[in-house]
Amino acid sequence: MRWLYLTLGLLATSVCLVGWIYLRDRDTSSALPPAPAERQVAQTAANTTLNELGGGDCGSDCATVLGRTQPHQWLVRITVKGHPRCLQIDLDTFTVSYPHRLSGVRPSRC
Amino acid sequence: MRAAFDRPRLWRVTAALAALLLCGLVLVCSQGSLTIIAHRPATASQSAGGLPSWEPWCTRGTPRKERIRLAFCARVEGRVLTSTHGPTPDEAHIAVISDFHILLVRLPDWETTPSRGAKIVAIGPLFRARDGQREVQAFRYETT
Repeated sequence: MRWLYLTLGLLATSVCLVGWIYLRDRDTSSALPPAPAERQVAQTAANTTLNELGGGDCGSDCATVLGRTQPHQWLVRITVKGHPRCLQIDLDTFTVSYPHRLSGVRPSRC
Repeated sequence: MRAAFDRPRLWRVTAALAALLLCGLVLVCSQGSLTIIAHRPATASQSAGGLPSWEPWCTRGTPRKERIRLAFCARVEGRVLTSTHGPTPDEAHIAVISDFHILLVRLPDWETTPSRGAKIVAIGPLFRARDGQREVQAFRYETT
């Protein structure tokens, strides 16, 4: 049986070697669950966007964070006067400047 | 079932094959070299000092803007694992194994892709590719 165990050990070592090489330089941040704080920042940005688009009288259901698409980029659904649309918000560049000018927001598919 | 496991000669052969596989993997993965210059040299004297001779190639092109730049420049020498064209028609990428690293190389527009197993050298700025791997935008590229 020791030859069987040796075979399994060698095969496992080969698989581990390949996996290690594949993953060692790879950016895995998009595979990790995002920090809760970032989701809150995205929700705040979505609420701000909703206000700027004229849907401020709607409840919180009108600005929904759907998920993170890339690091610091979030997909949100904004519903203004009953019409939903999806937007991509880049938290690094998201700003609101006078008068009602949004930066870091672009249309996206839901 | 137990009889299948209780065949030492068979498992001795499979162990030898597995050992060969592992040795082959180590041999393939250890080939080549990867050298990274993290930051652009501040002065000409610094550039003339401790930097490698291939460093001038690092500025012989226009680095792409839409990717996160990880380092000023990198030189990769390794073997081609696979190659792809696209997503745009004039774009080609190859995956290279080099010194236990996997890197993507974005080839200059006019290049054809090398065959699998070919040995290549590429020099250029280092970016984070869309799929998360590291990518060299080749300003200098040759097959050896």
